Amino acid sequence: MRKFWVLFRKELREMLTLQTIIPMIISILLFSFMGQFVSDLSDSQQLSTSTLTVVDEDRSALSGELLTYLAGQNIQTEMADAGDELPADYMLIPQGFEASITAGEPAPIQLHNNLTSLSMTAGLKARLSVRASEGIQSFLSNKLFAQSGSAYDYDFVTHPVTVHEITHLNGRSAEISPEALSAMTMQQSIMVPIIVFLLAVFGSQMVAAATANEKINKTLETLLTTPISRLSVLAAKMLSAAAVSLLMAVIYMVGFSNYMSGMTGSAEMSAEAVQSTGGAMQALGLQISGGGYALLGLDLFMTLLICLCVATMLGALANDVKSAQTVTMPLMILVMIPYLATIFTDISSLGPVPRWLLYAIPFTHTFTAISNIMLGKTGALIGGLIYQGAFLAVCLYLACRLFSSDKLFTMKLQWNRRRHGANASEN
Amino acid sequence: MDTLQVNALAKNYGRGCAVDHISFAVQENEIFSLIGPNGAGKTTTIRMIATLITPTEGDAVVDGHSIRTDPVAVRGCISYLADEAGAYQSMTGRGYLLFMAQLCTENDADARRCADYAAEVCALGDRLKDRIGTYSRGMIRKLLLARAVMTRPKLAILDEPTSGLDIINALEIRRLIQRLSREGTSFLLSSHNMLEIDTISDRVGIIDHGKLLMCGTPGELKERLGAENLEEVFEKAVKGNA
Repeated sequence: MRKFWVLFRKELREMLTLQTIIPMIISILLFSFMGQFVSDLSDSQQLSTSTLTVVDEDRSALSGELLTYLAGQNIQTEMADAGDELPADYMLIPQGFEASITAGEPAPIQLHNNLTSLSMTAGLKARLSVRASEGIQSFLSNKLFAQSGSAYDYDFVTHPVTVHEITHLNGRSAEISPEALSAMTMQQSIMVPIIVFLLAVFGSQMVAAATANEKINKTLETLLTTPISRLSVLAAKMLSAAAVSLLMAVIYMVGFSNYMSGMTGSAEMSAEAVQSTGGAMQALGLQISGGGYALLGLDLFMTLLICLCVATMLGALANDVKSAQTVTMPLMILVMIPYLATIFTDISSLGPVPRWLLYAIPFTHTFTAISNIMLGKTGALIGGLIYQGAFLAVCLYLACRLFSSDKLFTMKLQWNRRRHGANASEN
Repeated sequence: MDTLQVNALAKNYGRGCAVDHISFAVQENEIFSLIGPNGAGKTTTIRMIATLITPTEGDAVVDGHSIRTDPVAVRGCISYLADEAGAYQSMTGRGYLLFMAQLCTENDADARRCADYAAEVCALGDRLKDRIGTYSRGMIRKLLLARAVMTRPKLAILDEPTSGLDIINALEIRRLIQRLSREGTSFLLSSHNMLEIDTISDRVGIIDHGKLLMCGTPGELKERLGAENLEEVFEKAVKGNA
């Protein structure tokens, strides 16, 4: 075991160089900058281009005044009745709104948000109604100050409106800010695939390049003639790459969460909103149990090991470090296809051929794991895990065979020269 | 007593025999050199003895351990230096020696002793504190040679030990091999440099098309083929086999 750790430390040192650390730091800065930029951009776009549907059940002079105010704030509104077919997102001014204000009691406004997906844009759609409600709060507060001076309670004058944000998902409803819900679900449904993608890409590239480099420099030959098992050499390479990939993923996710915070405004979420998120997630059936997280972690680790295993084999068969990057391209494409598919579509709703083709890619099951857990599709989750386990077993077997055989030194992949790829060469 | 016994060793890659049932032995403290034209089977033979590739037929026994049945034990008593081998560029010379010593020994104290010995053998002094990426080719070769002998292996297998080196560096390495041989290590060398082979080898084996054509001391071979030097011996042996 001592020799294994010696090898493991060596692999880590080889991978954690300035060339790998500096891009990580730059990425964090870029993500933060991009988040702020996108936030500013999306705010202005929402205010200038979107239309807010308002159901005015009060039909009072005050509610009419509010709609005029919103129009003056560059928020286009269209009127609807409760009996109409309502859009996904709308604002409801309930009956008795003006009466409550006149009586010096906070008047309610309901912001209804019907989330059709947990995608990145789901949270942004709801921001217009939030902006409108904030504007109404401010407008009424100023109006009350101007009209009545100290006639009303101070708390009422500063907060004359109580905003109830109601989010609908899959026929269930909960009182929660869509931003809070979106931020939470995004962490789970969007960030998890990103983590998987980053882990798979970085880990594979690193281990393939490191293995090819060792082979070309003939340091691998030297290592394999020392009294240490070949499988230890293989395991040290794969585990060190997994450790560095995890480190990179954490660093990238810190940067990415800054980006997402800037975009969704979750950083400005109130304490109440944060506290209510858990209950609302539960009401909407979006809570993940400890067991769910364990399964997700297992799924992610399986994917990582499959990638590292395949990349190790490809790197060992590459001609040089540059071609090691090339030979891992098919692997990268196999990771990218389900990654993009899960972001832009629901795989389970696809036709049988594309669906099963995607399911044949072992990484798909990790990308869909989070939604399977949230939506309680246990069968699909376990089935995916079993498939990944079987795929990993085959990959590990092949990697062990390769590292135990002469092919490690006699076989080379030359995809750019020969269609069938492999040929043997020896002294 | 023989440190290495090679018995009818053969390797077939499927396109013919790269090594065709060759047999020879290397005695204790002996420097044995394999010479032959490109593609003759030298590197394949060396790689089989170093347990990197598996023989198709035959066997080799190093200090009583078979490369077929007990390769791990064989690796415990050999060291191997590949032709044009490199080292980890990001490590310091000292760090590399210690890293390799840790893989070849069972505890850190032994590893430090081996690394100290290697530092003395390569005589790189304070440059051992520098990164290997800053070393010249000659310095890297000395470092690797020191690494190859630091555990005082029974058999050191060196493929082209001085290839690409200038005269001074090559001379230093040859003297080093001779000194280490006197101190107890047997050497199996492969080289294209006939002067080098003539100078340092106790015995020489000439290999061509995977077959061992002849074997003996440089003097014996010259006498047998009526040649003035080893280059002539090589030419006559290979042309006679063609």
